[in-house]
Amino acid sequence: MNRILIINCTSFTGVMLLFSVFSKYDMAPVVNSTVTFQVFILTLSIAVVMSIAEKIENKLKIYSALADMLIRVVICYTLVFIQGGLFGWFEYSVKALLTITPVCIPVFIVTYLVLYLTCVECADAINKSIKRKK
Amino acid sequence: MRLIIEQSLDCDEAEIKITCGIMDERLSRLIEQIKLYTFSITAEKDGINIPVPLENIFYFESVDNKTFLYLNKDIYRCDKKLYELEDMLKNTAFVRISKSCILNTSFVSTVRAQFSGRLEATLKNGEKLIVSKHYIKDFRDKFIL
Repeated sequence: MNRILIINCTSFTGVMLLFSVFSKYDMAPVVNSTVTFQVFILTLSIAVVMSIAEKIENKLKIYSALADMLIRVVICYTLVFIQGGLFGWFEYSVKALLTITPVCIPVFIVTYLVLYLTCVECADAINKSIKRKK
Repeated sequence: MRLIIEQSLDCDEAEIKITCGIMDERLSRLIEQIKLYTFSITAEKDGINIPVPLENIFYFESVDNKTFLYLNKDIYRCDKKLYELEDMLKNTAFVRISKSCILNTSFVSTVRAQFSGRLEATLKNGEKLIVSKHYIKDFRDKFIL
């Protein structure tokens, strides 16, 4: 649940900021209340699907960071492509896949970094506790 | 907290009895330690069954539906399933860290974050084990009150 919240909040903030910038140049839909809700639904669904993917990775014992990243990128692209088309942000085409890249990739990197930093913080707290007990 | 120790030559088996009002975190940690130092698991090696004290076990691992317990250098076969052990070892220093592993947290020397969001635990004998994302919270709770 915690991870879903982190992914959702970080990616939502990132997408909204990039949408605000790109909409000035007509490269993204104008940010209004409808788009805000649509983005929220999109980021929430990505967070939930990623959480399910994590469970599958555990079952299949996939421990490689590269494989994990690839799975997450595929999830991002698939859901943004499907939902972006449904919300009328673009028409389904190969060009649309390229159009979503300037938003998808930076938001993905930032979210992945935030998740990694929370993990580092957790490891530091555990190490401090181990040192204290010694 | 009062500590009463009654020593008598008539006593065949040591008995620990805890009388308390509310079970707080410190008391449950104390019980964890008592369980760790008083319980043992029956394990098998070369056809011989021997009791292995919990405090000597580094971790349990399930491989091809067989459960093994790992000591500092030895590996023994255990007839219990991982879920049975998980249930038995509740409120001890042991915690599930992945689908196939239960770790004794008292043997963890350091922890490192991996870029994939998992944790890598280095044990006192130098072995490294991966803590899956799903189990990080339970693992963290064993160290941080």
